Amino acid sequence: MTAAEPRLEVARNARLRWDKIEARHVLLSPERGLALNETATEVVRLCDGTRTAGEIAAACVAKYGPATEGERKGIDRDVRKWLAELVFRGLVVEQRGG
Amino acid sequence: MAPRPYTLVAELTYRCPLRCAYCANPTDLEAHANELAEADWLRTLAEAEAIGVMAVNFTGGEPLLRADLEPMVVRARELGLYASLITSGVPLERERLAKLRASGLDHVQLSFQDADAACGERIAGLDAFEEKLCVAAWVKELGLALTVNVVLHADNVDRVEAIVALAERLSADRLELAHTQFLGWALANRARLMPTAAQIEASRATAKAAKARLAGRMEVLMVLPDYVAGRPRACMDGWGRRFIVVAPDGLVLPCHAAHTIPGLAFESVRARPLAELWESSGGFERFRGEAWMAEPCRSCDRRGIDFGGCRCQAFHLTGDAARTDPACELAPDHALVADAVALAESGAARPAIVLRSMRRLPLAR
Repeated sequence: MTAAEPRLEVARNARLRWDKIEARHVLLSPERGLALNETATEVVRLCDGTRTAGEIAAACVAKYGPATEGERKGIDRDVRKWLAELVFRGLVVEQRGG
Repeated sequence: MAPRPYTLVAELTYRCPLRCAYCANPTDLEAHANELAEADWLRTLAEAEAIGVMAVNFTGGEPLLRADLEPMVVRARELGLYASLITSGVPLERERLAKLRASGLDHVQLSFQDADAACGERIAGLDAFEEKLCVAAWVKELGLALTVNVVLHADNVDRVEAIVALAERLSADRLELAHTQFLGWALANRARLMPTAAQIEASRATAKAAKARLAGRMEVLMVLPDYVAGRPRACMDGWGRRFIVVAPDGLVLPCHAAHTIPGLAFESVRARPLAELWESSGGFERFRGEAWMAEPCRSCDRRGIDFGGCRCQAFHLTGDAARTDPACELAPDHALVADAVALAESGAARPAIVLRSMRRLPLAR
């Protein structure tokens, strides 16, 4: 199932930047800046064109090492939801032919 | 204390090969001919970044008329700023755009006057339609983000569907359909350019349908005219709150037209560091926050949403920048706006277009 998923990457017109005033990352795009927390930033960083949504979610699960199956599913669900939101906003794109 | 700014609007020049009758630049263009040097701009970019700015819009006039645009884009990229070029696309060649892309440009906002070349020429005094089509294609070929921007008014508002189709054909990432804000040259042309309520409503419905149909492919954004909205627009997201505008002659401003309000003290980046001007220059302090507000703004539950509307509009319509924006239907001066809308509805003969020129308008207001 995972194999059929497209790989994700940050759109060419979006750029991650450290906001030194408020000590957070911001995802910049035309006329917009989306303030990110640490976890959201981590997910955006993983969108480097080498991973699918499932692989990004798995990487987050591994990184945050949840104790229970329920927590694991929770992280997986949240990461996929966030990625879908980023794709809908055009900030992350599905790699064509990837 | 001053809030931190997010965006620098760098107005590199007021010069422009187009002469659009809806231009929001001041009507005394020749008074601002003393343009900043490249070194001033490079320093200004760094000073802006130091106080929190994360994005820069290179605009004008026509920023491409500055031969030193490239080093400015390079500096913006070195500073990690998100760089947008707000342009008419004239004059531009593919090679220069490729250089700008290589220099670090992120995004191009390209203006179209109309979906119809002849109508575009009538409002801009120049037929640049074919050139703009080429520029749009280059923007996409070079992998830059493309926003198509069209200012709407009585002469083109019935062609929004064709304009959407044009933006689709150009594979634009974003389409901004911006109803005319009646400041500068647009105010001088108001009786000609003001659409009827039915036209505005039809344009809104067309844009809404396009937005739904194109979701995920092209972002469609409509800016409605404040004259008929009932409430004022949140001009610049509030005075001296998120945007720093630097005019071609270096004046540091809270918006594109603030220097047309007499009696406000604004200074040039040549005089003092940008941080000082942003934080404490008299012009910024005058309308920052809510202390300046009179009723009905002072106790209004929307004062934190629209920030009292547009100070420049208040001045140019009433002669007093501290009045409530007449666009608000609660404003004591709302009749000034309502009368202009009624005139558009009356079917009275429309005056001829007055094209923008470097000469001061012989305005009898």
